[in-house]
Amino acid sequence: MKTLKQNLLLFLIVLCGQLLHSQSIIIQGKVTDSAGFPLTGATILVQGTQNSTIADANGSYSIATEKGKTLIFSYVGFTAKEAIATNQEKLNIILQDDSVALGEVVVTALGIKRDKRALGYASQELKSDDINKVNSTNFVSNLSGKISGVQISGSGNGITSSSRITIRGDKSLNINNNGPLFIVDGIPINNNVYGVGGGPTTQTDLPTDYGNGAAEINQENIESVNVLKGAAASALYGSRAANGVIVITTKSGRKGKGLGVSISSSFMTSEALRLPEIQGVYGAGSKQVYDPGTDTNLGPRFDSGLSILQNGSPGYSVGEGQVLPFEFRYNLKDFFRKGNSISNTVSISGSDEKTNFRLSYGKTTSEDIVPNSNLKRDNISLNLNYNISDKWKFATVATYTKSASDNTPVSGYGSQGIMYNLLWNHTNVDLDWLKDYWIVKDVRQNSMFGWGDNPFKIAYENINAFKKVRIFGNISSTYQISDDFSFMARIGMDNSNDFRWSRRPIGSSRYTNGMYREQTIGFTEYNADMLLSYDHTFGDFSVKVSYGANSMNQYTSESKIEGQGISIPGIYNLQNINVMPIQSKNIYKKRINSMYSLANIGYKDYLYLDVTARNDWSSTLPANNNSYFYPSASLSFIPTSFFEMNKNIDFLKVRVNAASVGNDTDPYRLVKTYDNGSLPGTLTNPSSILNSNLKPEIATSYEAGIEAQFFKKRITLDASYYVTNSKNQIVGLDISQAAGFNSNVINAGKIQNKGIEIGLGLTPVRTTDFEWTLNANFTRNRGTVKELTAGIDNYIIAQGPNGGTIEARVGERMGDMYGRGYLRSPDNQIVYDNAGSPILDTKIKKIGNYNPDWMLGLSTNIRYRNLSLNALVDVRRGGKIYSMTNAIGMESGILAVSLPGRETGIIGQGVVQNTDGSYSPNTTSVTAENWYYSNAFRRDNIEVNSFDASYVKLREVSLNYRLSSKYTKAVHMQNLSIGLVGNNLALWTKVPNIDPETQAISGGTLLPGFEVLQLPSSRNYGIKLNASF
Amino acid sequence: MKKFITLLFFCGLSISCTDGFEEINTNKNQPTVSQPKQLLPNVIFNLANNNVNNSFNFGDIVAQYGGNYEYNELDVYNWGADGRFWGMYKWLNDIYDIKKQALLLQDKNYEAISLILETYTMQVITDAYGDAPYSEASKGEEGNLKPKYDTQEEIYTQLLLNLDNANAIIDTKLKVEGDNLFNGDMLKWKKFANSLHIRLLMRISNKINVSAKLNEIISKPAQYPLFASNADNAAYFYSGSFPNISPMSDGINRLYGYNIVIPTTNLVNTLIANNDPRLAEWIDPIAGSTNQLGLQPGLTLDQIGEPTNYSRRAEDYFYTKTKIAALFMTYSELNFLLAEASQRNLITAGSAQTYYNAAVEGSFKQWNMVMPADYLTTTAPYSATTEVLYTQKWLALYHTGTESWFDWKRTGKPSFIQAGPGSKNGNKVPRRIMYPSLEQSVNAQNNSAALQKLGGTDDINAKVWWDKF
Repeated sequence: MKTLKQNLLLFLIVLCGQLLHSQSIIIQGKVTDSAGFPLTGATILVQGTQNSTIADANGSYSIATEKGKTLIFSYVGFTAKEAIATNQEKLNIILQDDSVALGEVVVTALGIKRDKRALGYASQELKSDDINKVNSTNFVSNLSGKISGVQISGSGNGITSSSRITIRGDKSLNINNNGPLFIVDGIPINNNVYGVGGGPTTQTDLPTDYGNGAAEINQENIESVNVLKGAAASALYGSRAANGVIVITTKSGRKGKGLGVSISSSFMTSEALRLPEIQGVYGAGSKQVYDPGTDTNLGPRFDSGLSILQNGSPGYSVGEGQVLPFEFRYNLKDFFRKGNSISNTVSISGSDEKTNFRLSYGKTTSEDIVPNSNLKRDNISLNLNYNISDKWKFATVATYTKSASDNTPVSGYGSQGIMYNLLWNHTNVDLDWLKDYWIVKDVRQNSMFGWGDNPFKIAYENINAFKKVRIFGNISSTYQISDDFSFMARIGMDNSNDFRWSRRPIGSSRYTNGMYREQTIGFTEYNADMLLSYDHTFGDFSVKVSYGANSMNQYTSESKIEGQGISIPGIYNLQNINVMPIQSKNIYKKRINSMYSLANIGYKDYLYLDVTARNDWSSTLPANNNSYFYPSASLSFIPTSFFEMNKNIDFLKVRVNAASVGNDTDPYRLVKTYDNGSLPGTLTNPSSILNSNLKPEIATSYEAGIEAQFFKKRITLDASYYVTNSKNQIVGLDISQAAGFNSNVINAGKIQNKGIEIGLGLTPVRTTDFEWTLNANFTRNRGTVKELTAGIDNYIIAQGPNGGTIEARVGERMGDMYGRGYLRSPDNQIVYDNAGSPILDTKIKKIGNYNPDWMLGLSTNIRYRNLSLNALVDVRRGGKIYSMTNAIGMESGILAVSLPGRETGIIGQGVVQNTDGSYSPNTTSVTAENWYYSNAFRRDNIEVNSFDASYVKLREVSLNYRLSSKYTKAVHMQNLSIGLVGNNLALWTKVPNIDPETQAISGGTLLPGFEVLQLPSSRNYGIKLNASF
Repeated sequence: MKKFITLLFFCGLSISCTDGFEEINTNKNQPTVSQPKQLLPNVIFNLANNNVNNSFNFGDIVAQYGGNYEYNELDVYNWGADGRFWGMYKWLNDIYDIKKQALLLQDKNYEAISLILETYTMQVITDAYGDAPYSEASKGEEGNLKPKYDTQEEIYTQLLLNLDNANAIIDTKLKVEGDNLFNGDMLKWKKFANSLHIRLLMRISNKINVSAKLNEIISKPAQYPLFASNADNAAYFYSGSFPNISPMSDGINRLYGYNIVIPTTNLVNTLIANNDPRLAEWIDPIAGSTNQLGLQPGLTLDQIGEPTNYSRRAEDYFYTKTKIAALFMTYSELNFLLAEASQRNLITAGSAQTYYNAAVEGSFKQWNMVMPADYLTTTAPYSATTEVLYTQKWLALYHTGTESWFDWKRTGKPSFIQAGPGSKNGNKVPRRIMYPSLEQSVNAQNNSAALQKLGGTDDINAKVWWDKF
């Protein structure tokens, strides 16, 4: 790009020349990018001459030329355009971003910026625009459907729900170890879920989902997210990157001089996306007779015109109820209200020759659709770059986040769960009647059933609150030692302190004497690393070699104190506990020291080779086996730069790579320690046999792919095929309890994941005024269990509810779910007993797999002048989900699907076995009570309550209008845009009554494939404003 | 920072890259060693909890003291894989740890206690399942992850030897610490060992001639002291202070869970017929009235109707946190065993009637009640020809673990224990529970061998070795 001075000179010369021509005209106009942003400094050149000018700060230009001449408009990073000079009043030009052809730069491992063309591995980038169309309360969910190979699922546990993210399938037998590593500005940050509470069916202590660590990242601060999908991409990050890496880069100070302010505001409303469909024909009772004490809705018809004294009606619980008409009153919308979310981020950025900085403050306040549940976040973020000298640069990034919730509900099955109590309720009861939930304040609740809680009491009194403060960031410095040598050093930290407290009032169905609990989780990770690089071009070869080291230290402390009884009602603090509290504090430490080196060799501009090698020493492995070495190599070849190809192929790259990644384990798995017993001062043997001879895990992967662009970038393609083998996983395999322990920690398992990822981009229309692009991201992954260990053929990865399990069986797929189902005849019909009830098989069988067969994210963007419409559709095909909401809803007779046969009885479809072993059709009718409540939909019949989990979601829509510069200038703004936005807007699925994008939580483990009375997800829509000054 | 740079430099030489690793990976949250006095109270507490849980929720059903009014799979014998007693292997493992430490410390009393508790635990496991791992159990740390299943005969042979051994080595002059069952009183442990010995001998009395050993025990009270009164009962009493509360009591359980089992017609009607004051102690009448109605065992769910129409378990036992005790073995049971032994001429000392009378009166005293003056003369006098001994024993065994069902398996009496109309097991009352399904996966070969002996499937009607009835 020419300097200002040069251009001015040329201009003057040309102008003089031009003035001598009679046919000279002045062409004026503006040069902008496709978003309307002025391209300051764009060059306008009269073809074939030296006559040129540059666009000013507003993008305006003025040039004298002759009619009929061709003007060439160009700007670095954009495709040049031509236009003929005519007598038109204005010649405005929009230039298109031209990233790849000129070498799009992406941030790769260790924060190293590389040319995407030179990368021999699969990666996919999202820019700020792609992430910031709609605001969400969980950053990870904003990535859903946008990147091939990445599977993201929300949890349905309220507004603080975790999102589970995996890249290229589940590779680990430890269900919690399948998530990718999150890196922000070069430093790893913690994405863990820390649990409190038991499993999803631990009725006495249901878990609360406080969210995954990365959820609190403020999306407005993000410049780009680069997903490194395979081991070759992430090898430099070591052990924790075996499952891929999400490299996040935050926005820095603005390029161009001066100070800039930008504001982003979002106002969203939410409502439940899908609520169970309640039947409105029959009310409470059994055998069509009203019964206040039963929890089933198999009672009389509403149109029988009854008037009765009804349980749940005002005054009933204190003996002052009145006879009321027996009619349908049940509406879940009387419980799930409209929520909202207000999000504002203000940032100031500025730059001059030496410095650029960006400081931002963001605040989000969200009210959930569950009453009395909210989430509040504040964050402050600083990004500062300072050039101490030409050679010496200094940078720091720091983010402070405070997240808090005054209440978030527990999730799961049991009398403490909201969904469970709503499903075992009476359809003749108006939920508004239950809003008055105290009979005696803080002591006795107004509950319809002795075993359950009033759902409003759960929402308003069973509080689970938290406040979390977190700081992460780093300081780094690069020094250019000489032309070829450079040195980088960096220290980073992620420190968080999460304080949680929970309370239950006296008179709760569990914790009848009340409960108060506090839990504190402190987490700190320090990383210090350095990199020494040598960069030189030898003729046709470009060579970069680096050597580096890293030291990571992790410290976690979890303390908890819980009193299962309080003395003064309504007072919830430690002093008020009147029983021996359960208390613990555990500290975990871990350190990994590493050394690594990498070499990037390029030959001309079409052949690139990357080689990395890394060695880790981990404190969690035994002294004689705590070092593990793993290399990687990737090669990319660009035929279009090598020889002439069809002119319609703009760009083609072929890449292959092979890599291995090692992994360690959690602290304290080598030496036996005793657990605390049930009584204070007692001990007991641990349930796991530890192993002082553990070896590191190893995963090797192979990948091949192509990247291509056709027809002037109207078609772009990025496809990969990969095979990953994970071996020697450190896992606690189940053993016979008779041996005295439940599990034995050993190296076991060989899991293979294979799959393909395809990213396709289409631009059918591209004109100045109108542009239409389509993007598709397709993912298909299969994980197979090749081996476990000698003599063991199956391993229970996780226990689901009601006997359902996620198991790894040799020869079967990762993610398979098992459980009981109907007894079946040889021709697969359901077998009934002589009384007409279906028989539940005692043997467990495979139910399905919680992973979809394939996933497709389809997005489209249509722009007409300043108006643009963007939509993202997420398609998941296949997979299975067990739904306990459906099981309970059938048992209780509250769902619309439980209507058939109440008055006539039901004859189950299937066969009975005769005494001689043959089968005849079942002809015995059973009552609806027997069918729905007792036998046909038992919750431990995993098979009948599991559904094909395919779904299509309209994940994001945004309709955005950018005000043209003449209006924005009037108010001294550079940019103003306003949009109608929404996410999680529509759902098409065959799964009845629930949103299949959900999973249970068990302590701190997310359990995909099982819905255990999760809360409904919400549909969010609203307005978003962006302005910059 | 200095340390870091040095670290990086030396890492290149692979020298001190692992500096400080051992200290970092040392678990300071928990101790690495234990002592018997720390393991023992937890074992006893958990055996007590297991006893109470299985007594109220399983023993009551199978011995037909009570019936579920919801989820009554147990009542209609729709049984599946069952881990309820298999979990006791965890306590067997702690007991084995105590024994190992006792041997090292040469502490005879801890060794004896571990033998007695091991015997009790193993007796429950084998009486429930049949063949089960014993000689190879608890050896996980020594490398045996797939213990073989010993036959019940092998198990009982060893259990009897254990009790003899324990009885011989106990030193009553010394006390032990951490004993929350007998408070360190070794004489009581001796009595428990010998009383348990009587129970085991009577258990196998249909297969083995136990007369000699029985007589030996009874004739040498100095060498083989037995329970002399309810003060000697092997029973764990909860303090009522959290966490020392029974799993069925308020503070841990909820009333709904306590009342889900309704007293049966067998229990209610037998007590009414005998004008037995234990009725009022154990059972509350129908809510809002003074009438009693028991639930017929083994009905289908829709035949049961509303729980509010029936009598209930006494709520006092729920609300008063100290009332429910874990009964391992009682003085009353001992006397019933001796009464039966006398009736069958297996022992010579004493008479069946004397033992019977002591047993019945012992039961009333155990429940802190006064036996009616005419109970032993008019209401339920001893008879060698009727079932009165077994019926009274059945009443006396209320909530004594699962002992009632185990004993019924051996004798078939009281004969009112029968499959109900809703039974999914034909007209048979099951004789054993199924092995946990996990065993099929993790100990397949041994489990399969055990199933072969049952006839090929995990048959709940297969009789265990001593069950010759």
